[in-house]
Amino acid sequence: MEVAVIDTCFLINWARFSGRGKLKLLFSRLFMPELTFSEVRSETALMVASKWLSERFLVLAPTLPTDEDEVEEILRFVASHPQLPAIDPPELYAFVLARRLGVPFLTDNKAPKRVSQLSTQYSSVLVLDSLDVLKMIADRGEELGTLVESFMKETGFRFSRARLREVGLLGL
Amino acid sequence: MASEERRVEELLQKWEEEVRAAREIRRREADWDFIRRQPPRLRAALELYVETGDLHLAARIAGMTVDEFNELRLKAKIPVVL
Repeated sequence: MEVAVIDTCFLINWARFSGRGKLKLLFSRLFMPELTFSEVRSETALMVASKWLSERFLVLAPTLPTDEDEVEEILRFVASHPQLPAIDPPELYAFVLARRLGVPFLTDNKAPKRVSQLSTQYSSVLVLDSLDVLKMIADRGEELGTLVESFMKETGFRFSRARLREVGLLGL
Repeated sequence: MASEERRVEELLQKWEEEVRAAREIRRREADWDFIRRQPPRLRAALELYVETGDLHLAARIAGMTVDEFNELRLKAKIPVVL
């Protein structure tokens, strides 16, 4: 797994995490739609984004006119399933880009993961959140408990007991 | 078909429980003194975030980008719950 698409939330969360460099153990390049990048404003996230852009670790991807149809299709799907959390256009374009490139989509928004779980049409998109990514890093020889603890402390995250159980950090 | 319906039903039930548990964690950990000291618009946005966990919507209410609202969320000690 070498390439992935990220959205704003993932970038701003990982920009605050001191272990963000470990993403390079998993990925050689991260794509982000230009439209999504325009949401990044904080100095912390811009400093990290600037470094990653200069290294070509982060690459901005244009939005194509053909994306619009798919965006509309997903919006229609979400609207017809009120149990799904709202999904905003910036993350939608990232989702569509991941599908177009056939690569994982890294996001801490719940909606894209749920769309891929609920709809057989979008089940081909592998949606990973920060805990999934931390687990993948740990599988490369890092200590998961330490990674998760640092991530939660530095980014203001909490992982539910169910999720921690899923990755083996709590007994069954 | 029946098994697909059951799968969807189970997923929806699981998500409903997750939403409830996440809301409880945000309510419990939020710095309510900080939230109450904010101007009405920001206070409303932070309260909405506590209830829904929807960063985009809360940012829109606050008149900020998600990135800017995330900084405010951190000051209010409201966790992102996954």
